[in-house]
Amino acid sequence: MSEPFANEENDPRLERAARALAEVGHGRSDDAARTRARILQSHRDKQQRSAWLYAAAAVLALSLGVPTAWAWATGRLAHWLEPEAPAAPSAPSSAAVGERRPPREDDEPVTPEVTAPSAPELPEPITEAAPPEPAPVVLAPPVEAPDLAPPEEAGAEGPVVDPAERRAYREAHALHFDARDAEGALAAWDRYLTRYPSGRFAIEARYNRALCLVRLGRENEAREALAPFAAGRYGEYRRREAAALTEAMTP
Amino acid sequence: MSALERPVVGDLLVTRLRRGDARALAEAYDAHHEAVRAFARRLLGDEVSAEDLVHDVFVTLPDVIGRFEGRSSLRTFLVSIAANHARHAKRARARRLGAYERLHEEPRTESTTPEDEVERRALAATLTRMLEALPMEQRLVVVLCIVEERTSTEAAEIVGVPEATVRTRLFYARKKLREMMDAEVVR
Repeated sequence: MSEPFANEENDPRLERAARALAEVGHGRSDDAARTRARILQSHRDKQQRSAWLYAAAAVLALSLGVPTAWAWATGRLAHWLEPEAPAAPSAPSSAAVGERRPPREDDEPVTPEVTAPSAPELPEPITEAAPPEPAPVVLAPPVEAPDLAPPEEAGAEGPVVDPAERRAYREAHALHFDARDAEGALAAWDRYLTRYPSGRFAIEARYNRALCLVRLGRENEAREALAPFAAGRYGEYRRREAAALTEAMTP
Repeated sequence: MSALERPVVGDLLVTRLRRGDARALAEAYDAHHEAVRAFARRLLGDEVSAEDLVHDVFVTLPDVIGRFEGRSSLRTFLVSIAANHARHAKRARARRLGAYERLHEEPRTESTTPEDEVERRALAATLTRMLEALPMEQRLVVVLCIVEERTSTEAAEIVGVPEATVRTRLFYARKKLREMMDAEVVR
């Protein structure tokens, strides 16, 4: 079809070089099987992550949905949403509530003698408008919030080994080796090392951070980061690799 | 045309890929990884970056397969994903690392290959080096149209630009390559 244009302005040198590149750059590789496994692993990880996200969303929906349904069933939901319908003139009682709320806001700037603005704010309209109902309306949401928060906090306190450190390391590791996001991984390694400069995985984190710098082409920083490894400050750990990488970066 | 390139089988594979079927992903890899890797090597010029690109292409495939309309083959679609990924700035940086690695390996390979193979490799290496001096958009059209001898229509589809743009880019790329080759001869 439009093939000829590739041969327009024939240049035999370019053609020969292109042919050579086509022949040399075939698609067989010793790493093909490893890459295949890596791809499938990444795919599985991704699916697992989305499954976790769905689960978390479901838990969140439940934790928000159940109290909301309860509030709706008990008629308290309407009170939560009350401020949206302040001008409804139909029922005299609701109108009274609606009218009383705005003045409450006005009171603050106008009346300087009010010493505790926050304390009288909430109880005032509630008790005046409908004594039996507003009290639970105000109390209900705070009851829900502590219910949700403590289990997470309790879980975090439980284990003896610092799970936050492990999480920070895993996060950086996933960005580096699964997502292969050098910039993101570098930031994550930096975060880890700032929080845990002598943490359990600090040496690995330092080496991986250096690899990110190499990948990002930040050669001076990479050389600096690799130097302690190449010099054997961490024994044999990554000494040879660090030396080879440093040498490869030498102009 | 391979079995997996045939429309019906390809359609089935695409449907399964859309469902996120891991086995379909493995089949797609088995059928097309060589073509994608060859393109990646020609474009990037080194093994490590090419392997990374192949990885990224197939990892992305389940997410982007929804955009595949079946107008081209799945293989062409995969090459277009590779082209898109290669445009990313990070690739250029990774390529530099690859260049370092090549520098490291060159002396070892030269002594063990037959003369013609050495010459061919040298030619390929020269073109790769020159391609690295071109902007990615021009490099893409050179690899697609001159090295892989694809039609301008196919190249335009892969790169996602009009055919006229492909021609213009190719024109300027050729000009630069010719200049570089002349300079090389003078040296």
